[in-house]
Amino acid sequence: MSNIVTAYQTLEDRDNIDEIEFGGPFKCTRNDAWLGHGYYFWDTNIDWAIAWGTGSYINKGKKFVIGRCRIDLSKDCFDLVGCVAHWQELLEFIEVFTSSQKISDPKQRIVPNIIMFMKQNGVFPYKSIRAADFHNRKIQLYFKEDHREFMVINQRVQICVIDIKEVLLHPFSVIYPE
Amino acid sequence: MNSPLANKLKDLLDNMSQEEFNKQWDEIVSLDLQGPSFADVLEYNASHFNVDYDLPEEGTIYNVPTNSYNLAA
Repeated sequence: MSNIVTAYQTLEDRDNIDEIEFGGPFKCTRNDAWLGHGYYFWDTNIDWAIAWGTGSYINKGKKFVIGRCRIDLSKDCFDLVGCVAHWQELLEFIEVFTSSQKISDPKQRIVPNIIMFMKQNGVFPYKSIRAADFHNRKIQLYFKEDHREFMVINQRVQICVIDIKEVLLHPFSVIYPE
Repeated sequence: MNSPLANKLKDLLDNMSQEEFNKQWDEIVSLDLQGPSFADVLEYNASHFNVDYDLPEEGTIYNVPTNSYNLAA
C-alpha cells in the first residue's frame, strides 16, 4: 500500500481560483478544528469533500470549490485510523496529563488542547494526523448474521497536516467543479 | 508507559511549574478550541477495544489449519 494519498480540501468559492491554486492549501484556525490548527483534508474520497461543501456552503447560499494535492503519510504521520500503537499513544498522553493534575478545569481537558500544547513544547514531532469520524448514519457490516461483532464501513477519514513543507506534494489544483 | 513521547511529555510536565504551565495553557484555552474530551476518548476506548466476544458454544469443532507455526491466518 502506498503511503502517498490523494487529498481534497473544500474551500469557499469567492471567484478566486488563481489565488487558491497559488496560495493554497489553507490553514484552518477555526475553533472547531478538532485536531488543533492545521491544514485539513479529506483522504482519497472526493465525495466526502463534496458533502462537506454542500453542508458548509451550499446550504448557506454560498458556493465551494475543491482543491486536490497529494500527501506523503510516510513522514511521521500520527495515524489514529491505521495504527493501533498511535491510538494507544494518544491514551498515554491523556493519562500523563490526567496524572499531572495540571489542568484544573475539566472542560479544558480536550484533545486539541493537548496537541497544541505538545506542539508548542516540541514533544509532538508528527507532521500530520490522520483520524476518522463517523457521521450520523453509520453503516455496520456484521461479520455474521447472529453475531454482535461488526465493522463500520462508511467512516470518513481526515488528515490534518501540521508541517506542510514536509509532507504536501504540489501542485494544489482546483478540480471541482470541473 | 510504552511511548517515548509520553515519557517526554511526563518529563516536561514534571519539570514545569504550575505557573509556567498556566501561562502557556491559558494562551491555548483562549483559542476556544472544540474537540473530543479526555472522558469521551477513554469511554470510546473502553467500549470499543475491551470488547465482549460472542464465545462459541462448548464442543464447537473448528477447522484449524494443521501447521505448527501458530499462524494468525
